Amino acid sequence: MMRRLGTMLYPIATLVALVVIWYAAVKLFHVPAYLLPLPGDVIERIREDFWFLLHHSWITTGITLGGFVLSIVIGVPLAIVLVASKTLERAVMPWLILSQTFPKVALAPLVVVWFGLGLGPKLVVTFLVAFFPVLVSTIVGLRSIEREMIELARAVRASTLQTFWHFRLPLALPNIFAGMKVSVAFSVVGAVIAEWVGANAGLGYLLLQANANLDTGLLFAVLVALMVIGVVLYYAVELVERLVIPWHSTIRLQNPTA
Amino acid sequence: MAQPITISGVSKTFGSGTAGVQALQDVDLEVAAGEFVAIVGASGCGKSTLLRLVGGLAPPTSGRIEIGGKPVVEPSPGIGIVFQTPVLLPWRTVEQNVQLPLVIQRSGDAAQRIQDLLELVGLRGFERRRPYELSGGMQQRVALCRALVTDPSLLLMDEPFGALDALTREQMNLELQRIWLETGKTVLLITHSITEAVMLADRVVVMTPRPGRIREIIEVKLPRPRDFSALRDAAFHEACERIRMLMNASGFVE
Ligand SMILES: Nc1ncnc2c1ncn2[C@@H]1O[C@H](COP(=O)(O)OP(=O)(O)OP(=O)(O)O)[C@@H](O)[C@H]1O
Ligand SMILES: [Mg+2]
Repeated sequence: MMRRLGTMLYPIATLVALVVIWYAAVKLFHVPAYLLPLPGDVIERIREDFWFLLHHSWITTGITLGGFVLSIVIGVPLAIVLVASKTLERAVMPWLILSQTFPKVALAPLVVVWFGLGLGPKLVVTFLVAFFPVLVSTIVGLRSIEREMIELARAVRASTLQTFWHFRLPLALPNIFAGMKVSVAFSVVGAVIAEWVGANAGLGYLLLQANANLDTGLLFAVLVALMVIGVVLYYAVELVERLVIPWHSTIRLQNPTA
Repeated sequence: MAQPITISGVSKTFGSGTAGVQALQDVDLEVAAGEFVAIVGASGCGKSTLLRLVGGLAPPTSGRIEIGGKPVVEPSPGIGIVFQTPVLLPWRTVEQNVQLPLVIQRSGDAAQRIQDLLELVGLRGFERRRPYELSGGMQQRVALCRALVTDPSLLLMDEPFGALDALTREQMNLELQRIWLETGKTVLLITHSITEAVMLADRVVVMTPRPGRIREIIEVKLPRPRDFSALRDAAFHEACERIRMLMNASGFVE
């Protein structure tokens, strides 16, 4: 427990240092508040508009989670299919990779034109931004199985399905979780983009509003809210990871006491 | 119901052209049903490759392999393989790892059998541990239990005791001999220990490296059951010396 606390001290120290630099910079260079408000002002703004921010954060979190879940329920099976079929992989993978070089922000308005303004299109945009890491890591995970492991599966005469279920999938889980951690962070970005192009609520929407009104205080308050959402979701995924694959070395090495 | 193995004119080349590696060349070997054969030879001389071919995990480039008169095309039922590394599934407990072949083959519950096997290799009390909590030698013993749990009629072992201390190793040797005497399996054992080979085997196959061939087959004519007091026996000594000489001649120094 003491060690936990000890490791938490480092990021907190970094945060304090950054806030101090921020504060000093504003004071030192007389930065006007509409460009960069003081840390204290941002905190004050968050306190003032707490319930308002919470309401919009809730909406954005919903879209983020929805898109993230879509990324998993589509990304993982898609990876499985691509690994299973060489033909399909050859046909589809280059296009999937190409699609990633494409700025997905540019797709968002199109999705709105096609699907309208409801929840659906927002989930689609978030999914488009977030699914690739899950897809790629799942593919890597399913592929990176040692030769002797495969030989063991064959020696015990496991069927293709059994080999997948008892060997390949569990062995891919560490990679899948690595992809999910990237993906959940991308999902927050995706949700904000989705709310930029057709929303009347949510943090992305607030961001546009604040920008239009030169309300830098609100802008910063929203950024803080987004950060909190991102960090909480990231650690939630990590918690699930600890529960699902406690046997994996990356987790064991993190808490040697366990 | 042990089965004989027939290996005739088997060669194995990995890759092709100038980049190809010839791992085995013209290997001929007859293993009788219920016979215990040990294979020794320098590192990289193709021992594991030969075991893989017999196990049906890879096809020979040329030649034939038969188990019980049937050509090997895939891992046949009734074989147990101990790989050179333990390859345990990290999310399964010791018990569950041993149980794996039964789960795959949907055989009934064999809790008692698993208990007995773990007891036999000195791993009682570790049933619920995960592989990463075990030493290398303990992991190897779990792998041995996993190979034995289906009571295979053919046992293929690739240096199963390599990571054990001398004393535990001798114990394991005696246990293996006892199991073999009781069940009459056909056993193919790869080992780097000449003593182990002579102690356990009816015949010891000495291989030469690059390409892997059978240099000579030594018959060990010692009465069973053997124990380590046989080490002082003249016949034991003679067999060991002969094997050592053959291996030295092919550039191997133990
Ligand atoms: N899958 C493979 N692809 C290419 N070459 C291989 C492969 N497996 C084995 N070889 C080569 O075949 C030769 C024999 O390898 P093998 O593993 O059978 O040796 P070994 O006698 O078991 O050695 P050791 O005692 O070190 O385990 C080696 O030269 C190795 O490089
Ligand atoms: Mg080997």
